[in-house]
Amino acid sequence: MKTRKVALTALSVVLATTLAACGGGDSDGVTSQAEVDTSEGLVIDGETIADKETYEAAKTQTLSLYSSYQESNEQAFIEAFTRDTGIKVDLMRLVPARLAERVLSEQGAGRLNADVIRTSDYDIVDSFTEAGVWNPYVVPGTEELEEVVIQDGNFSRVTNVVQTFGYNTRAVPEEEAPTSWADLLDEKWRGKIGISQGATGGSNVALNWFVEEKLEDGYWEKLAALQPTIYDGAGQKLTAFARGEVPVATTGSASVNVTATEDKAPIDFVVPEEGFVTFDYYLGKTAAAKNAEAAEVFMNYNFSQRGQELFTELGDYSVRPDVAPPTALGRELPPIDSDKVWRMPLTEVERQAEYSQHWAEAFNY
Amino acid sequence: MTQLATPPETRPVDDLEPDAPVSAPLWGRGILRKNGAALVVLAVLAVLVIMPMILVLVAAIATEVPRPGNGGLGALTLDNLKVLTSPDAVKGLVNSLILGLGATAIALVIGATLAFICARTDAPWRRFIFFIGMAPVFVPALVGALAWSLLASPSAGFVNIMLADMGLDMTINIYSIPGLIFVLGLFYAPYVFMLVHSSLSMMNADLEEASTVHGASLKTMFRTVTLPLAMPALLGSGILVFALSMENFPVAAVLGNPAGIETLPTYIFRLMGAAPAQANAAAGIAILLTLGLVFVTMGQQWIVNRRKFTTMTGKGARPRQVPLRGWRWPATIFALVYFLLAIALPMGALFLAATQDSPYLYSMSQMFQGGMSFDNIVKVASAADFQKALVNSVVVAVVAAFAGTTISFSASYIRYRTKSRLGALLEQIATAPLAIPSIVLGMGILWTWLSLPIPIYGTLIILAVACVAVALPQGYRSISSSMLQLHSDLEDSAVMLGARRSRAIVNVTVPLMRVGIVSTFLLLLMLAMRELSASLFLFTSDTRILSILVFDNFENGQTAVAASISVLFVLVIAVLAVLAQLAGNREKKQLAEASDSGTNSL
Repeated sequence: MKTRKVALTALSVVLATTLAACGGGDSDGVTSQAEVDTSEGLVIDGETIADKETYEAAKTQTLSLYSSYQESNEQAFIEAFTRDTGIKVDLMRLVPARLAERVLSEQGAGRLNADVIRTSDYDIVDSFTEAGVWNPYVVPGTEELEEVVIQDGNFSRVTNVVQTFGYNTRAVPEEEAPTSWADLLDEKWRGKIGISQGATGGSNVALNWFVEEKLEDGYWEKLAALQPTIYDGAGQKLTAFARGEVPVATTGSASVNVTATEDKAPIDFVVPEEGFVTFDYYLGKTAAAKNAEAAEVFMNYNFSQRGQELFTELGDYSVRPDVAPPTALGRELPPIDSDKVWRMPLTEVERQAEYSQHWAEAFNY
Repeated sequence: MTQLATPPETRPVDDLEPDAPVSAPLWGRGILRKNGAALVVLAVLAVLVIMPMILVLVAAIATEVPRPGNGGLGALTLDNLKVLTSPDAVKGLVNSLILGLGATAIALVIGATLAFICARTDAPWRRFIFFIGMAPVFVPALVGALAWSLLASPSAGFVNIMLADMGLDMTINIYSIPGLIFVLGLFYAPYVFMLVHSSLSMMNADLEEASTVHGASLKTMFRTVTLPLAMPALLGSGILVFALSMENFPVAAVLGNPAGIETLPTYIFRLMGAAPAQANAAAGIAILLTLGLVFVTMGQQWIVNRRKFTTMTGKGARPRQVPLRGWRWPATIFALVYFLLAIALPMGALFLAATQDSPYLYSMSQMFQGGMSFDNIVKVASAADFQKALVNSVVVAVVAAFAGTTISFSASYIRYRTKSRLGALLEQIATAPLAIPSIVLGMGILWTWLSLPIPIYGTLIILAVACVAVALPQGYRSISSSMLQLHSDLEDSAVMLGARRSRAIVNVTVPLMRVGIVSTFLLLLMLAMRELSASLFLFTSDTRILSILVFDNFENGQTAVAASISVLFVLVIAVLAVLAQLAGNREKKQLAEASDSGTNSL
């Protein structure tokens, strides 16, 4: 009898919390509004996204998106997309390596369920090309942009995510905070820095390139001598950083933005004197796409002024020169053509293995 | 004591219809008839376990992974096994062994002590102690690890903040090998508790009485009778805990990683997280783990099979209660301390993280400034993706628990109640997934079901299938420990008296094993609710489950959301467990009444 009472109480608590506020729960990621005109196809903020025929067909479809873009940002992006276009999106979000395994396995079995795929790491999207995943599609107007249409439109570079370092504001007073990558080599940070294991992942590939090309020789070795904590996953690193277990950590401005805003974590990012690196996110349409029209509208939307501005609102860089730099924690980041913002050119992709090898040797990992 | 007529010669059953005549020319049909049921179970296990495992094995010795559509496997090679000699792998192996042994020791001490207190002593609050012994199963490993990192991370853990506030110069560091062993032991103790408790409570009192009659002291009786009788349960649960802690990923990732403690599973995760995933090398390590655990399991079987451990026969009697005298309350306090460490503190920490303005506290006084707010929890609970994941998780868990219990029962029955030669093989197969880290097994399951023409890929069913495959060893062990204790006399008597074998199973064996069956069902239900690693390869946008939601938010660095979901997650699991337990109890009661009247009429 006693147990039954406990069960009923517990059950009613669950129901109460579930029912208490049905209907709430909007993401607070995107606040901007767009002007949408659907009288002649889909026109957003004066830019044509789709002609009437395509849009009519797309509206009846539900787009399937596989993505490894940061979860809260992807959610906010598709929420804005659905609000602007009326097209629903099913999202499957996985980290890049697992996303790759899923896509390649499904493709191999002839059962790929994605209409569009968004992920970082050139090697991964390239392996999709080899597996015949893509159906080339060039968004009108993107041909002129620098290194946006890749492999004749198999996939396109859609946004660039910042990789820099930050500090815990409770553990480190602002005046003592490091302001350059060189500062991090100071003895006072011994055992106080958190980094990600650098052998894999789009962000680390870019960071390795940046360290090799833009920072002093032997940077990794010198940093390794200070015995930083090396994290296998972004989650562990970010949590430890937010708690101040590592007062300084490599991180992205967008992740800092999300954690500091949502959880009021006492962390801030730095725009170092030497600048920071950004890494590519790619977007492509699949050959297996069942909702071809919706996929096309989604691609066009991503590269439109509106879509690109959404990325900057979420803290990432646009690939269009006519879109302003992103803001994070209320601060505007430096313009993309300044000497503070670097991007690894695709010609360097082949040296990726060599760079990660060097990283592994430096940190004996 | 009433004798059930003349006890028949205990005769192992040949198959479900043991009296079928077998003539020489029909030997083929004979085999089929003899092993019919076994073959069906074997076929199920083949798809569920063998195929994914073969694919993992192939991956371990090939240069390419056996992914669907991958033309060839590349070349066969032993190079993948070379990864085993790398310093990282060796370090990981050593750490994993230390963790496995340490956690097993702690779990055995806690679990067995609690089981003994609960089943065989006169300590107060024994019903609550039963709940305490089971309760930590409600807490998924990831959630438990997350909670303990909130509690005792060296610089920001709530416990350490409190110690600092009190002016004590003392730090508890959970990011250490002892910390990991403590947390693993804490959360795996329920496995020992469940198996040992059912063994102790079903134990035949005659043997103990005999020893007392012959002048043995309580201590001697315990050492020479009780302990040996509980040995299969102790050994079985010990091996289970050892294997599970060796391959536990979430605890090692959350608590070991910050201290640079590498274990085999985190090493595998690193290989799998590499882009492109080094699945071949990961599979190589999995194979090593498999071989090691096969040896351990063989050792266990050797010990268990040396003699019979039947403890429940037709001559039923309640096992003896041990008077604790002055130790009555200390025993209960021991249980309460365990409850504090495994449930109250971790849940409190998560609740705190979920209800504070910010989960990042630096002083206890901060708690009173900001006050408490249920905004986070309410927001999470009312979000559409949480509600959908909740429904998905419950559906998957219930389906998996039903299917898993049925398969475990069938396999165990064939192993221990029939002469079928396939029994031993079934046991090997059913317990094999234990040895393969679920992150690798998940990939094998993905490849299997993408290749099979059965259209369940992308549905909730495939998640249930994966849960069954991953949790089958636990289910099988759990049901076998009660199967081993139930003598076949009872069922055979029914057959002697004219019942068909199937009816005897349904009306005699299943009801008598009700406790074991219900607890197996419960165990599988919990495990399926918690399953994460394999599901990560199989979920779709429509079939996201709660564990994936927690993991995603943790990976995203959103501690408050992760904590809120965790709190609700544990609550849901607890409600499910209580409901299942109530259903089980009601049936048990009916059964008890029925059997009471049955005994009286005899």
